[in-house]
Amino acid sequence: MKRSQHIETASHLKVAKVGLRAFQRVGNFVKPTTRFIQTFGRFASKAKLQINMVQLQTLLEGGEIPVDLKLDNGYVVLSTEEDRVLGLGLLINGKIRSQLPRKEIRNAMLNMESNKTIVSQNQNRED
Amino acid sequence: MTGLFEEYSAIIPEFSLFQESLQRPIPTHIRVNCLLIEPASLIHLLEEKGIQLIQSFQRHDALYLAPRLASPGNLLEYFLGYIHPQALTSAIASIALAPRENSYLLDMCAAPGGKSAHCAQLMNNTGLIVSNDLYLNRHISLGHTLSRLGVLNAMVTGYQAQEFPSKQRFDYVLADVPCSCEGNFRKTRDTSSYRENKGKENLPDLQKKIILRGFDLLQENGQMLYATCTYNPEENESVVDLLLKERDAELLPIDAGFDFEPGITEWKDKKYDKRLKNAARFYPHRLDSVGFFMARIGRRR
Repeated sequence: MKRSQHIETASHLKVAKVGLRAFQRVGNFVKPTTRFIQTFGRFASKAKLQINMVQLQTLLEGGEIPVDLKLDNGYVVLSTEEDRVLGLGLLINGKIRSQLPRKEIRNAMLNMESNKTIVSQNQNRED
Repeated sequence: MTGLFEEYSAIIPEFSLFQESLQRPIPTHIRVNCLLIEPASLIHLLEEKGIQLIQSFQRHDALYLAPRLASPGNLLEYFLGYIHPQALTSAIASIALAPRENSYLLDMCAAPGGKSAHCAQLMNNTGLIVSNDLYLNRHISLGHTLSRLGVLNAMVTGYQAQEFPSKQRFDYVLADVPCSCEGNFRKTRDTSSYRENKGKENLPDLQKKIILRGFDLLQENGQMLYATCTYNPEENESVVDLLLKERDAELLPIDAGFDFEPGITEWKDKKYDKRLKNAARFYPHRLDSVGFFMARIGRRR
């Protein structure tokens, strides 16, 4: 949020929350929030990984996906195959673990994604 | 159907059609969150899932009817912040207010945050929105909506709307006040029932306090939108009528490209200011969504 006349005026108010939370402290580390990454992750130039729905399902079930990324251990921006930014994964020794908010990604969402494949296959048949 | 909202038969045109419309469920409308995705890209994503979207209005490419989509919250696009399920008339409120970029806006009763987020979209995440709601437990849903939709230009406060600090002056004030929510009612099941005004007798008093404070918080050239989702004139025209009597206020025309009925100037034995014809009443048999009332207000010059 840029410094502006509005901000100075509003600074007299008793405020509960301002703007979009970008980071949170996890132990001794600072972790970007999912919403921050969803909003700005498209500008990342490295530490990015596209995953398919099967891999997403694996991550959400608490599993790990092996990857061949020439990166140090750390956070990786995860996106769908259509390049839609989902949030963060954590790369540790060649394997990605989920940092996505499991509660917010409902099973129904993943089922709908599976339907997409079926719809797409049907459309191909019609073509 | 008999009895339901009968007392409004004199003010709601084509009343039998209105009553019929209450037997149909409220259709699913979604707003595309243009802060995070272009409408064309979103339409493409949903088409791949077999979900068809129909643009609600030619002039507004972010509002869509999703005819066979029962639970938009179950789409990955919801988690990604690309869509917000929102009653069409709720979305119209922000469009009618039409906040400019870089302006200072107060949403007096903001939770759960759909209108604040829509205003942020219309302002292209510039300026500053103060999203106020008294109840701390409602700040959770408010904060969640704002962050899910990538809103960067909002702050959350917890004042009583009618006692919001009066030293502030805003370019825009949105007062979507607590109301009896009659407009939300649809009799889609035998067990559906509406307890008319039970426990809601004090609402007009509260609404009058809020509209007066909201108006006092406006800049000289500021604009305010007063809105409810009820048909009850006591909560609508009567409230705005009080403002017109007690302040140098003017009702501005609403031209957002939607069909609506004008505000009424008589109700039972009461007569309201003639300028209330500039207010807007939305009925479900004319626009298939939540019944709504809105008045766009400025200072008299």
